Amino acid sequence: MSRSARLIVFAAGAVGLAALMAWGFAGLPDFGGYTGRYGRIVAQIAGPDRAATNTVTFTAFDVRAVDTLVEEFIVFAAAIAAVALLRHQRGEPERAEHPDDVLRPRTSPALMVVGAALAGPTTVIALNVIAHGALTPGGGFQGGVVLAATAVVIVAAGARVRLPPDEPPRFAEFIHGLGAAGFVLLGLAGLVFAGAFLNTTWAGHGTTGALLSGGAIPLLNVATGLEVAGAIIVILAEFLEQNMLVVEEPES
Amino acid sequence: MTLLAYGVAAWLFLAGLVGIVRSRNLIGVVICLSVVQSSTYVLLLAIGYRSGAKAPIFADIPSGTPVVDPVVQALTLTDVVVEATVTAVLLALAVQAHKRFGTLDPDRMGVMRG
Repeated sequence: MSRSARLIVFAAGAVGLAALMAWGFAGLPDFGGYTGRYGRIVAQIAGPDRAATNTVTFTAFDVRAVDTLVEEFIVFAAAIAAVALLRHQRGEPERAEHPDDVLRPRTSPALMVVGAALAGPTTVIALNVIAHGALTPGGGFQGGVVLAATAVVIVAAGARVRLPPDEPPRFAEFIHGLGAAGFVLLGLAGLVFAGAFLNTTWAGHGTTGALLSGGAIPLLNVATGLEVAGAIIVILAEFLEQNMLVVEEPES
Repeated sequence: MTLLAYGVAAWLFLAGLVGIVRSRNLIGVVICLSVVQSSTYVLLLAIGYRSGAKAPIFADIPSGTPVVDPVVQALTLTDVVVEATVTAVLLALAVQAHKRFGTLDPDRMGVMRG
């Protein structure tokens, strides 16, 4: 199909879709007039029932924790999919004799200083965001991404990272799996100690507003943080390896 | 206000679709797909908004204060995470496509197979 014909077919479909969307949106509650009961009940019970002040995290890691478990597995599967897709394919040109020559463009001193200076604070921020997930905005997913950024900063600063050929970074793989398994194990702990899978009450409530509060929600956040950080480091490492270790095929 | 909030969601969705159809580069397709997905964030957050309500974090507001719906916000969080991972997998596919066909233009890929 030619380009213009495709655009005409798309335009016809898009007009229909826009009309359907307008019809659908017209039936939604007015902006600001949401009256759903579920969210209001969740917001009301987060404090009294779990001593959690961040009701979004309370929703994600307690009321709808099974959804988050599946979400974790999506992240897990995506990282593995990226590794599988990006692995060294048969028939691809061989890697350079001395990977280091390809891998290491010279790092400027300014980048090294800034990278080294940022690595510590970024780690602290990541742990802070993960640890306070049950209290203030943040949590395992957000903190995990910041934790992965720490690894990026360190690599950018010129730390020598030797990637064994065709292997994702072992340590990142390890914490990636540890996080995913940890979430399931914490869920099973709920089954054993509180009678229901992913029930978070077994860890005790703690004091509202204190670091250790919200039952097992902080623990689930730590597991998620490890999993997300590991997954993102694995994915980024695979992409970096593509550009740095595989010899570019001359453009034909 | 209603028109603006839902209109932005519809606009992002359709603009992203137009971008996908018109794109001559797989990376562009992936970016346009994330524009389409961002329309769902706007839609979810717009649905859960309550006029005059606070953010659903009770760390610094007394309990019982009216807050916006926390469930749609948790859904949006899920949405963002899934979008990021989907983007990673699609970019990996784009890398493979470039290796196999030597181009990122979706129109030229079928032609070059052989």
